[in-house]
Amino acid sequence: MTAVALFGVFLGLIALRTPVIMAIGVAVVGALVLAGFGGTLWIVPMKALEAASNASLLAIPFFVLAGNLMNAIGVTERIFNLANALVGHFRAGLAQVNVLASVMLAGGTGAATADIAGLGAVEIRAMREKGYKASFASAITVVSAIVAPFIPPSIPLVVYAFLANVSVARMFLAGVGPGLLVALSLMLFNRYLATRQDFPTQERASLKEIWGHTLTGAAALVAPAIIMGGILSGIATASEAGVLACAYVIFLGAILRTLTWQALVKALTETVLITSMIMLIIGFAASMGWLMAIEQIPQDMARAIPGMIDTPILFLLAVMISVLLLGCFIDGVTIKLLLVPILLPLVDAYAIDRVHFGIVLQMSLILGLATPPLGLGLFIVARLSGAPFEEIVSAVIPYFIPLLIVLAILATVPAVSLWLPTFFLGPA
Amino acid sequence: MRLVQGIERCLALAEKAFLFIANSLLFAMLVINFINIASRLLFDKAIIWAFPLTGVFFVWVIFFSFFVIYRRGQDVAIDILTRRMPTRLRAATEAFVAVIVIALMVLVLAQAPVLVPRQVGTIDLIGIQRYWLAVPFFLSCFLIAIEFVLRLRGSIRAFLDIADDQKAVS
Repeated sequence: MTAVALFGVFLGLIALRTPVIMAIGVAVVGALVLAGFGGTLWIVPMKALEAASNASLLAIPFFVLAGNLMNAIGVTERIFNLANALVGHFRAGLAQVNVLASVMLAGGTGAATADIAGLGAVEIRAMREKGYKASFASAITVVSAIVAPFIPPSIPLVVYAFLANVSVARMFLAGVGPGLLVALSLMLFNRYLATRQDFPTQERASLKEIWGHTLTGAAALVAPAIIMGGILSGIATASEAGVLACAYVIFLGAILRTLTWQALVKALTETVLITSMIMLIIGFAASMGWLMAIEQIPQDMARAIPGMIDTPILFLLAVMISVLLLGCFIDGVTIKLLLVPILLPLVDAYAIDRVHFGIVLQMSLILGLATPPLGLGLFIVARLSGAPFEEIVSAVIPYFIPLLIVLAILATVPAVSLWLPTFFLGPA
Repeated sequence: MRLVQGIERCLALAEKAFLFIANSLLFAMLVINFINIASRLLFDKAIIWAFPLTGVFFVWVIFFSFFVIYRRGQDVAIDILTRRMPTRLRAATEAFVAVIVIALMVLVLAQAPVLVPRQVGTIDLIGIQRYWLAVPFFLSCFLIAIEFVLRLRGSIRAFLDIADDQKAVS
C-alpha cells in the first residue's frame, strides 16, 4: 500500500508538471504519513543532508566541471576536426565522424547531454553544409551521444556505483567495452544506410593533415587518460582524478589562450547547477529508499518475483522493457534512484553480477535520451538544428535496430562488460 | 504591488549572491584538492583537512544552488499533459503545484528545530559545528517558498484574467 501511494503520488505529480525534486519530496512525505511515520518527517531533510555529504559522490562535480571546461575552451571543434581527418572519407563520412567525435569527447564530459550540447552545434552545422538533411544530422547527433555514459568518466556510472555499493573504478572499466560496441554498431549502421541513401562524400585527408589535427585534437584525449590512469595507478581517488583532469583542461586552455574569465565562470555556473540537481534528486530520493527499506518492499519483491520469473535472462528482459517504457517519460537519474534499491535484492537473488546489471540498466536508461515524447536529447538537437521534432524522431527510429541489438548482447553476454574490470582488477 | 516588486528584487539579489557563493566554493574545492595532490606527490605530505573541508564545501554548493535552480526554473518538469490543457486549467494546475511546493518547503522548515539539535558536535579536522552544514539548505527552502508564493500569485491572477476574458467574450 505504501509503495503504491509512493509511486502513484510521484507519477501523478510529475504528470501535473511538478518539478521532479519536489514531486519526490511530496510523495515521500505522503508515504511516510500513510505508513505511520508522520512524527518523523525530519527524516526527509536528514536523509537529503546525509546523501549530500556522501564522499563517494564527490567525484561528480569535478567530472562535470572538466567536461564544461573542455566545451568552454573550444576543444570540441578540435576533436571534430581530428575525427573528420581520421574517418571523414568513409561512406556516410560525417555521420561516422559524428560517432567517433562522440567517443572522443565522452572521455571528457561523461554525460550524453553535455556531448550533444558541446559537439552538436559543430556537427550539425558541418553536416548541413555538406548537404545532409537537418533531421538526419540531428538524429545521428542524439544517438551517438548514447556512447557518453559508458566511456570513463561517466557520471551515471558513478551514481550507480554509489547506489549499488560497487567500485567506481570497476564500473568505469566495465563501461569501456559496451561504449565501444555502441559506437561500432552505429558506424556499421551508418555504413548500411550509405548503401541505400546517397550521402555526400569527401576526400581522404593527407597524412600531413591527419598529423596536424592529431597534434591539436589529441590534447583533449589526455583528460580521460589522466582520470583512468590516476584511479588505476592508485595515485588519486576518483574525485582527485577529476581534480587533475580539471587542472589539465585549465592548463590546456591557458596554453591555447582560449580560456577566458567569462568562460570559466560559465563553466562553474553550469557545473554547480547540474551537480546540485543530480545531488538533490539523490538526496530527496534517499528518504524514499529509507522508507522502502523500513517497509521491506525490496525484500517482499525479492520473495515474490522469482516465483513469477524463472531465469535471470527473463528478469533482465522484464527490467529492460520496464525501463525503456519508463525512460520515455521520466529522466534516467530519477528512474535509477527509484528502481536500483528495489531491484538489487532481486539482482543478487538471480546471481547477476551487480556491475553487469548496472551496464544493462544504463543502456536501457540512456535510450530514453532519444525516445519521444520526452527524450531530452531530441529537444536539444531540435533547438540546435531547427529541424521539426517529428522529422528528427522519424530519423532516429531506424537507429534503434543496432542499439537494441547491442542491448540484447549486453544482457546475454556479461563478458562484454566484465572482461576489462576482471582483467585489471581481478574477479569481483 | 510595491511589496511584490521589493520581494522580487530581494530574490534576484539572493540568486546572484547564492550563485556567487556556490561558484566560489566549487573553485575553492578544486584549488584545495589540487594543492593537496601536489603536496602529496612533491613533498610526500598530505593536507589532512583538505578532504573534510571539500566535503563541507560540496554540501554547501548543493544547498546554495538549491534556490538558484528553482529561481531559474531549471529543475526537470514534464509538460506533456499540461501543455494540452485549456489555458485556464493549466493556470489552475500551476497554482496547485505552487501550493504543494510551498507546503513541502514549509514542512521541511518546520523540521529545522528537530533536525538542528541532532546535528551536534564538531566536524573532524575542520572544527565547525555540524549543524552549519544544514543552514544553507533551510535558507534555500525559505527562499523557494517565497519564490513559489509569487508564482502562486501569478497563476491565480492568470486564472482570474482568463475567466474575465471568457465572460467578456460570452
